[in-house]
Amino acid sequence: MATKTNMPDVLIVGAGGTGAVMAKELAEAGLGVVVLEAGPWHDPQREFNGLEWDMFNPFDSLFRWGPLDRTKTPWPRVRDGIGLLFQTPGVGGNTLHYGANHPRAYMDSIETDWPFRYRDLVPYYYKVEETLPVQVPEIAATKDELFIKGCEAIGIGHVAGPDIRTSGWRMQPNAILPIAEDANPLVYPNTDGCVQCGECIVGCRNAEGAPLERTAKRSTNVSYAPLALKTKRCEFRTGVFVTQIVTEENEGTLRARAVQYREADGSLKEQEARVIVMACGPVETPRLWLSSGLPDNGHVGKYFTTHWFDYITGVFPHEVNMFEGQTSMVRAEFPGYGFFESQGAGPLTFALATSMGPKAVTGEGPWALSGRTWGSALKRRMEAYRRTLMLVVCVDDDGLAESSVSLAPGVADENNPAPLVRYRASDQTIRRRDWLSRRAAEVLIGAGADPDSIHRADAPASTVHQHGTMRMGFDPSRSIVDPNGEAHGVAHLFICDTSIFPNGIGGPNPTLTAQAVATMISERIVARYFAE
Amino acid sequence: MSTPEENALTIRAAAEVFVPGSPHDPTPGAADVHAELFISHYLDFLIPGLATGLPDLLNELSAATFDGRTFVDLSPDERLTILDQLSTHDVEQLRELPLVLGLLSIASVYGEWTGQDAEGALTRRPLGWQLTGFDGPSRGRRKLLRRPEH
Ligand SMILES: Cc1cc2nc3c(=O)[nH]c(=O)nc-3n(C[C@H](O)[C@H](O)[C@H](O)COP(=O)(O)OP(=O)(O)OC[C@H]3O[C@@H](n4cnc5c(N)ncnc54)[C@H](O)[C@@H]3O)c2cc1C
Repeated sequence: MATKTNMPDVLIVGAGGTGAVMAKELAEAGLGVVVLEAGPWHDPQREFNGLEWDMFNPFDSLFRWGPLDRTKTPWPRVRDGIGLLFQTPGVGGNTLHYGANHPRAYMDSIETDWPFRYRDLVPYYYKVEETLPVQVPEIAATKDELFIKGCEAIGIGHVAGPDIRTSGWRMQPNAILPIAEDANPLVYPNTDGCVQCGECIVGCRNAEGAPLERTAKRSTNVSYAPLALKTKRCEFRTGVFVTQIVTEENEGTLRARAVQYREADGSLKEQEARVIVMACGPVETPRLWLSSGLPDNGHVGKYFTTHWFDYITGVFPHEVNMFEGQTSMVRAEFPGYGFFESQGAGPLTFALATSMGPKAVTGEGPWALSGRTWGSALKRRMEAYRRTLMLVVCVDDDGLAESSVSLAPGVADENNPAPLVRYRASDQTIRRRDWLSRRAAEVLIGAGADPDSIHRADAPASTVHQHGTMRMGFDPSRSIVDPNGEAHGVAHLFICDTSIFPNGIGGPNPTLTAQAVATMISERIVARYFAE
Repeated sequence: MSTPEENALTIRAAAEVFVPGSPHDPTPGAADVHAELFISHYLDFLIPGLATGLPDLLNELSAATFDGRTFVDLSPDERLTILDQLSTHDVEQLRELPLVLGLLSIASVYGEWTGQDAEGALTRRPLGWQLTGFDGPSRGRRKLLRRPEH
């Protein structure tokens, strides 16, 4: 096998949730790997300050989607039927921002739509779970204890994980180091692990003073990417944006040969590689594909799913302190519908998540109010922040052809035409979301929340979770990549991010499954192009 | 053409729709923290001139809907009517503006801006934390940690 040379064996575009996994697996298999990543490689201890606005506002924050120079405006995106778009540049990608809940897919969702069996994925699940590692917390914060109490009060029983086929609540599998021991001072190495600060989605920087690899939340910038570097066969080039996949035709076969990318100073460069892997996520991967003029069988960019979240809240007579503990430490599974979980948040995230729905309506469910709360109603809800429990509902949404990523006519940034991201929900998706939201409201009431306080946000769709647009399948006329992750119409070109999901895996958080599939694809790449 | 002061008041009036303060609500809100400074900064950052263009647009819609009155002269409910009109405006790009205004208004009160100095250092307890009782970011929540084994 080749070692690192001027021409790498494999070039990976994007070092987020999946690109970094691919880099580690291929480099450990002995290949020379180059990773091109749009954002920087952050130092959480120095750069993350725990403040919601500074960390992830969509305009000029550390996690905003735009040029490295944050005095420049963010990259424009055109949205239709969708609220906020979450795209985080940097090694780690959206896992910098994520909650690190790492459940496996619902078993039946893989059996129905994927081009392999659930059992084929299981060894890869184990591998990722051990590498990160994924842990089930042994204790629960108040918000999570209340969640369990509410589930039991309305007859939702316990279900054992990790392989889920039936309904029930269970402790949350999280890609977070084990809960640390108390120590004085609460500083590494006295303290090593999760310190329960409640800031997972703000960007983890704890335990204080910990080296990068011991950061509690296992975003790929602190887990897989350092492991890839350790092989000395992997190079990360950060702050560079890939603008084209360069192909050549050989005896009637199209093959990927190189990529063109823009350096931070604006200059364009080309990098060849034997194999190219796209790991840019479900918005940027189809955008790059279409901007490169790669073949479109009519399905590129289609069947986008987002688990169309909703947020149900209830106020208790006592303190809940949703900001304490891992962001979510418990969840309830409902195969066929999706799931919901406890959700901690700082005041700004809480306010925004729960107040941007359609005009408020009353009397349509077990909630006192559904829809937006602005004005004095928002103020009163915020005054009850410390006594509020928030549940987030994630729906098993249908991938429709109308839900898509395409190139927006007449809008561009310095790299390429901007993506137009469109989301539509089927009637079935809406029914499942209503059903889950009702159950979540009942859990809150069962746990002791004041029934008159129950609020359903009916939030607009966002892309906290995002999948589809470059589906995996056997049939080249209906999917973009084959079951090995290689593009049907372009040899030597693979995709490994969540865009290849043929469905939303039944509702569970997608990253563990995406990382397991990326691990599987890495083996297929080695077998197909680098076997001795 | 409106003066800079009038534009600032119009933006403040829009922010009050989302997070009212005195005299419309018993606790401080957007007007009390001069949210217009925060909001105008980001509007102009997104599109230079938007912090003046948007007040003009709000005033135009108000005048057409409410007998020539300016946006500032409207009641909170009437202002909401204008923002809802804007979210279904014929010009597609304008429909986003109420969402942007809402996000910035809520952030002006419940984000950390009111506690930060010009360099971004947190020097005071932000208003949003006072209103919600939030303790601020933490380097560890002791009561949820494991007891030492030794
Ligand atoms: C607030 C939030 C909370 C979440 N919570 C959870 C959770 O609890 N559990 C869970 O499973 N999932 C969660 N997610 C989703 C999770 O973050 C994603 O599933 C995961 O990051 C997907 O990995 P990916 O590789 O497909 O894409 P990403 O992680 O988005 O990585 C894509 C990378 O590609 C780079 N890139 C894109 N285009 C280019 C280009 N042209 N050139 C160079 N680089 C490029 C980007 O900068 C980025 O680093 C959450 C997401 C958000 C936003």
